[in-house]
Amino acid sequence: MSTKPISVGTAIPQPARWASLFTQENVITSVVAVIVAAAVFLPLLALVVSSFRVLDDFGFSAEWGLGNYREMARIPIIREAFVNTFAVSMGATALSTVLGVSLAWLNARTNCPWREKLEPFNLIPYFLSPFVGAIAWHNLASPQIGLLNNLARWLFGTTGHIFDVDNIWGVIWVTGIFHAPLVYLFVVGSLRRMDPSLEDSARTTGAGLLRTTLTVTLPLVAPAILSAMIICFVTSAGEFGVPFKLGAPYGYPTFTTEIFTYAVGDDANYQMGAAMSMTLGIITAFLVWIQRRIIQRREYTTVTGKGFRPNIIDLGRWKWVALGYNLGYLFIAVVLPIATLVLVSLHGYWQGYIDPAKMTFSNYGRLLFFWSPDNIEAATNGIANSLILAFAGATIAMILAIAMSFMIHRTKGLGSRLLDYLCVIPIGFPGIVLAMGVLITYIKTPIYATLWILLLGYITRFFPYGQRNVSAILLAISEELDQSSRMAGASWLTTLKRVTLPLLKPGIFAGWVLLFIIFLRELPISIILYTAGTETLSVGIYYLQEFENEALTSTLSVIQTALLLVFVYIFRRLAGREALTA
Amino acid sequence: MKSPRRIPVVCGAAGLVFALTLAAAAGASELTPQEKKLIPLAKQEGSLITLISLFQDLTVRELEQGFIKRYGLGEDFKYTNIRKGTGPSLSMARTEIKANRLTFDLIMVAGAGFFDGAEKAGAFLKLDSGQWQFHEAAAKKAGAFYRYPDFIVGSAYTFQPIWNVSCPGMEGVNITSYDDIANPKMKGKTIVSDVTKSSSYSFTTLGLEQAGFDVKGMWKKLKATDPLVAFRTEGKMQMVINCERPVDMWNLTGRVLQAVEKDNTLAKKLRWGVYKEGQVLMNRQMAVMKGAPHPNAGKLFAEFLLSKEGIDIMVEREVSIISYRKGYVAPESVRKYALDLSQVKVIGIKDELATNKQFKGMREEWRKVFQ
Repeated sequence: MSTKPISVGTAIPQPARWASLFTQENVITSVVAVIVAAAVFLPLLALVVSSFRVLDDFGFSAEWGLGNYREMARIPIIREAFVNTFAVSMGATALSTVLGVSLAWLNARTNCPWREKLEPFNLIPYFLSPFVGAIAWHNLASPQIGLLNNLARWLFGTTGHIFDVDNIWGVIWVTGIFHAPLVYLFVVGSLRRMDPSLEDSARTTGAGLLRTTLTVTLPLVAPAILSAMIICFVTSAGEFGVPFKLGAPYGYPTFTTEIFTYAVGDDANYQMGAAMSMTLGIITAFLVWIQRRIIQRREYTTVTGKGFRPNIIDLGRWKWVALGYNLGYLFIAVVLPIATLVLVSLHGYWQGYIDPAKMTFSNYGRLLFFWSPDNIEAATNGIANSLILAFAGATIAMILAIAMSFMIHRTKGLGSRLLDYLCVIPIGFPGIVLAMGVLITYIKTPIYATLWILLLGYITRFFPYGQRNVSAILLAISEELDQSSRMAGASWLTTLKRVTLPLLKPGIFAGWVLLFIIFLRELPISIILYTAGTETLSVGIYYLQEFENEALTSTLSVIQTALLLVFVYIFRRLAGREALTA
Repeated sequence: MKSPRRIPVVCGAAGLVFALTLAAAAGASELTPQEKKLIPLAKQEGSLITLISLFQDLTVRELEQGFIKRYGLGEDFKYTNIRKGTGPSLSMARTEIKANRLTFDLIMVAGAGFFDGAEKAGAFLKLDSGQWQFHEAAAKKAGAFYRYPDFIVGSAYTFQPIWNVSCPGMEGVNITSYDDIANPKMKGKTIVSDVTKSSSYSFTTLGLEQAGFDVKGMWKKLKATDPLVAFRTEGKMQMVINCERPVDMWNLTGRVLQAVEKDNTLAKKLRWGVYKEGQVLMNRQMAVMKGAPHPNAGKLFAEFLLSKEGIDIMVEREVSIISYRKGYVAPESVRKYALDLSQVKVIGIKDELATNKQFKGMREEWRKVFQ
């Protein structure tokens, strides 16, 4: 073999410095970052600009000014809506925290019977639509026509009513029970992973069960509880469907219902809606930023071998009370509402009482059979469109989420921190707020009045949820694994495909499933961006409530609920017990 | 080589066939020259999209069939209606006009202010309507707001009281006056319509005021009945039927018919009346959009809605349609639900545009009482 000798002084050609920037990693992650930044910032910029445009009386011209913000301060109903929103957020957060923490503690730390079997059922309310929950509770506990009140009148011969959900308390009640699983998810994992030695020390020194729980256990998981409370507060403030059904019609408007009224109501003043959106969005985004700051203090790396087995507390005879409490929650939060919807849906026209002689499945025919001569297109379109949006949206959102997670947790510097904040912003802004920005931004583009604009709205608003799932696992995976692969000569893409993604699979699947479920039941974004032919399931329910009657509304609500439950069941079977749990 | 005599014969025969086809498609009434001109253009477009908050799904299907049949458009012709409430419809229309991006061809909605502003913004196509001549005199006499050829009046309507006599405490109730609604015996039973969310309720309120009725006094009496404030006529009808609130001061008799069609036992329970103080007549303006995806189909549909066939379908399905067409009488099947204007005191809105400008002040006064 002959070789050419290298003569002294010959320079080895080096690649240009700028060429080293164009690695696979940099190109892919930069493209994704630009897409995400555009998707998030453009609508918000549109909202900011619109909020300073004051509409004239007939709505065709506008001028720059602070008029919208002045009107907000002046109009009593907007001030009232602000107060109601705060009350709903506080009340729902308190209720969901009490329910979620207690259920999590029973499930993770006690010998409550059936706790493993009950865990997936405890999460069901989170996967269902709060708007549908509000429809169900209206038919259950409305003062004049609620089934529970009718039952009480029949049983006890009273003339008044016991329950009344058509007010701010009803909004708090429904929002609270539907967000309890969210708190549960935040807290139960921390309870299972905590170090039991501190509790052991407390019990050794003579502290009883209650004292240990209150002074040792709960403070140890306080960051998780606080995080959950903030997210619940923010989500409740941005909730639209529940106050739309139970609050606003009965004189209890919230900020989201007023944004909707101003943006698409009779005055069609979306500039005013934009001003209100900015106000709500800034407050909620600030709270989410605080929540992220709390979480960032926690240590995440756990894939190192050291694990904890938590103490299981023996409740003695009280374990049956614990079981009763859990079953009671499931009965009230899941069984009663679904049963009510089914009963109402089986009547041609709901007249406020159950009439077995009049029960019929005809409503299901009208909503499911698109070939039926009296079918309602908004409903049949809604079913198909929601499935398309859920499958496609979850997939695209997870691809973005993976890329964003990499950029945030595997790169250093200002860019990664900026991207981290980018992922916080959409969570902080309520769906109805972001949807208005998307509408204003994209109305002149070909995607307007198509399913694409809904897809864009969904992904922009919810991809951080998927990103969170991926990040949680990525942070637990040591960087040494990636580095070893790179040092062995694998490219960034090969390392991603053969090392990192397989390890991330549980997080990716969990994120995909979560997004799928969220997209299937989404309302606030859809209600702003839909048109004829692009209705979704939730828009179909809204449409039936506005333009048809309670029986048809309940029918589509049952169909949506059944679809969600079927998919949750399928995904759990596919992914095993760990899916859709903490 | 064709005989020179054959060509005119062939053309004549073709013309006769064409005329016969049109005549067959015309159904009961003749087509105007304007309609005949639009037919082939609409057929070529193949589709129509409207923004009309009034039409249910069944109404849209029947109108589609009627439209295709009258003009021979072919079974492939597709008609879609975007159904949103009055407010969301106006919101969508304004947004699209300002963005110069139209997704619908024709709009019919009560909204004088919107039509005025949109016309000034050049948003409408000029109409050349053969059917409008049968409506114009009555519309003008009623003081309806229109500006032909930019926009016209498609139909009128009025709100009537509706109540459920099968609910507790409602036996023997008969409502012929606003005093009956505001009667203390109605405490906890009434629905008050939310004027802040609807041009229609706002027009009705201001129309009564223009006619000399003490609206603010009525509000105070109504407030004392602890009313529920609600907006959509369908939702309010549900409340009347299930006795949540058995009396609705302003609803449409068409909702009664639609409910009875779903459950015929309701025919015995639901009643409707006429106010002796007067029935305020409101108008739904109609226009075809400049930049519409199917402008000719839009213009032809406007003609259809003004024709007897079109009005018959609308009245049979929706009922609460008052047509300005000369000599029009509602079909026998729905006559009992339709209002005979000759038997009631009719209140027209004086200058809809000026009245529209009074909405803001009136709504603020209303809010002070009810919110």
